[in-house]
Amino acid sequence: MLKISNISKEFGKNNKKVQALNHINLQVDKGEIVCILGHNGAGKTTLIKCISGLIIPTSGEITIDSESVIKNSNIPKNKVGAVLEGSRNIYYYLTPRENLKYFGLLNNLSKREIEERTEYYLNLFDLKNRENDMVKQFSRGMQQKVAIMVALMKEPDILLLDEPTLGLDIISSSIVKNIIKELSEKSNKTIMITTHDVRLIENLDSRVVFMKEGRLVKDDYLSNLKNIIGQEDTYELVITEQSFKRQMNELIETDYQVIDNRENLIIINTTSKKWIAQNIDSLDIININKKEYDFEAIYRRILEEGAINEKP
Amino acid sequence: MRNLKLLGAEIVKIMGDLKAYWFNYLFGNLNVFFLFLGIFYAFQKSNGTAIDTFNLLIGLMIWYYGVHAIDLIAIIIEEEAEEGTLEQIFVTRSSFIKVLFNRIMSQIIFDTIKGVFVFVLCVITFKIPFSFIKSINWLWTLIIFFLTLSGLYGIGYAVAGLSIIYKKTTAVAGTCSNLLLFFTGIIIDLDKLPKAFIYLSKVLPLHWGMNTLNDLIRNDFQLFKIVRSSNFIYLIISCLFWILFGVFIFKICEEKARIKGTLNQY
Repeated sequence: MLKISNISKEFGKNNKKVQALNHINLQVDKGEIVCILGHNGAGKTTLIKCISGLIIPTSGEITIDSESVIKNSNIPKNKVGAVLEGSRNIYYYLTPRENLKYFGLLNNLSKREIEERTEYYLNLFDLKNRENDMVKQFSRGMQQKVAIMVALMKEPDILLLDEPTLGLDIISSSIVKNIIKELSEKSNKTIMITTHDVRLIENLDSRVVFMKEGRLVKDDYLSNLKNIIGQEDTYELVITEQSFKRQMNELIETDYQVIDNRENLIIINTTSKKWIAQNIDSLDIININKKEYDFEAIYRRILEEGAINEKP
Repeated sequence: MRNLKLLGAEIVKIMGDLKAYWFNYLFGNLNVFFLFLGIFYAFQKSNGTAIDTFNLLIGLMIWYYGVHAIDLIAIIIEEEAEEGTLEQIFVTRSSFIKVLFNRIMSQIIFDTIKGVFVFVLCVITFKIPFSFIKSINWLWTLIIFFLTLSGLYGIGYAVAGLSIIYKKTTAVAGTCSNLLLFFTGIIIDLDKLPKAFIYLSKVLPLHWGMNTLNDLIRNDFQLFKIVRSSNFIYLIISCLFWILFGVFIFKICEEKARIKGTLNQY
């Protein structure tokens, strides 16, 4: 079990002090998945780095199975695997197999363990046919897959994924989402994910922690969060950018919201069936999903319009 | 056993590096050869003997690998930070200092293979007689060579610690490089230099390493005399001091970076 007790972290000195974490308390049980959500600078990455022993907090305590991460830096080294944001995490000039071997040896695995786990993860992550290609030749999604494999090589109790879908295109992002979902279903690992990607959270349907300005402002399960806003059904439409631009002047702006725009595709949310009916012939619709709720609205309500049940 | 695994890991990495960037490695060797050649023609004594030439060559090799030893760890850290793998190494089960130690070891193995090639090329070009090469006590020459390097790696740990905090330390490594080349008696006799440099050179393992090699090759000291000589004893003391000092500075800097949260900043 991961227990974070009253953790604070200040960076800088005197007038330039920044309070990155402000008395965070959090408990995560074995096998649980927790998504940490917040704007840039909310303290998500600092929290992840404190858990992995890369940053020493100013005050407070972090324990994994009752052993202090702060007093004994070997605890996170043995029990935590991490894919960190803004880092490659792996060597691009090595192949996936070489990366797994390198980090396997650094994690003190035996030759047999390295071979067995390499085969297992190459098959699980569907990279067997690219095992001997240099990682620099891969797409961002595949590179991220290799980084997750490397983090899993030592079979950590806790897997930390810092912005795992950041900067990925829609297809790569969906590959990584499926991998995380599969991991959460198949393994009994504690997984903590920091993200801006509300669609990743919707996909995982797990516990969500909201952070704002270094504080934890909401901690609840997605199923409970859905009740925060009494919502009508929301439809998510994937349409071509070309048809959207063509029809833009005809569309009533208040009836829809653009939530993503990548690779000539636009994803919009709407609660109006009438709006869909009016535009279904003029827009090139690739896909329509009916969502029970709009997580983006929950996110905005909690982090922008004011915290609900804010924790001190 | 664990160190062997770490060494194995580093060899996996270095082979991958070699496979990806073989062209650059090839020209790296020629670069060293031409550097030595230039210094050799500039500083060889007109009435020099084979021993003088050999001493200059060995001095240059110690200097080159010594400079490499001083900046290698800092370069590793800068590269890892730039590549975004530094923190990933930190979260593995191995201590970072041990990973670096084994990275150095793998680099020494690799450099030795490269060094033999450069050495043979230089022996042929500098016309050092084969009979003289054969007469040298190579085992002890190499022991003293690597012992001297170990002290310089100690300085390298300290510089690397600074690179964790200040990120770019190539200027520090450059300063050490020039200091070692000109002010330790490799290419300029110490008695031609101001006294301050003589005192400074005595702090560095390179000075004592060169003196011990002189005792072995030029003065033809027997082994029992070598190990009892003040040069050898000072070499051991100097190396031990720099290794302990370097590791100490590195650990302090590592802790400071974890407090400041700047470990992976580049």
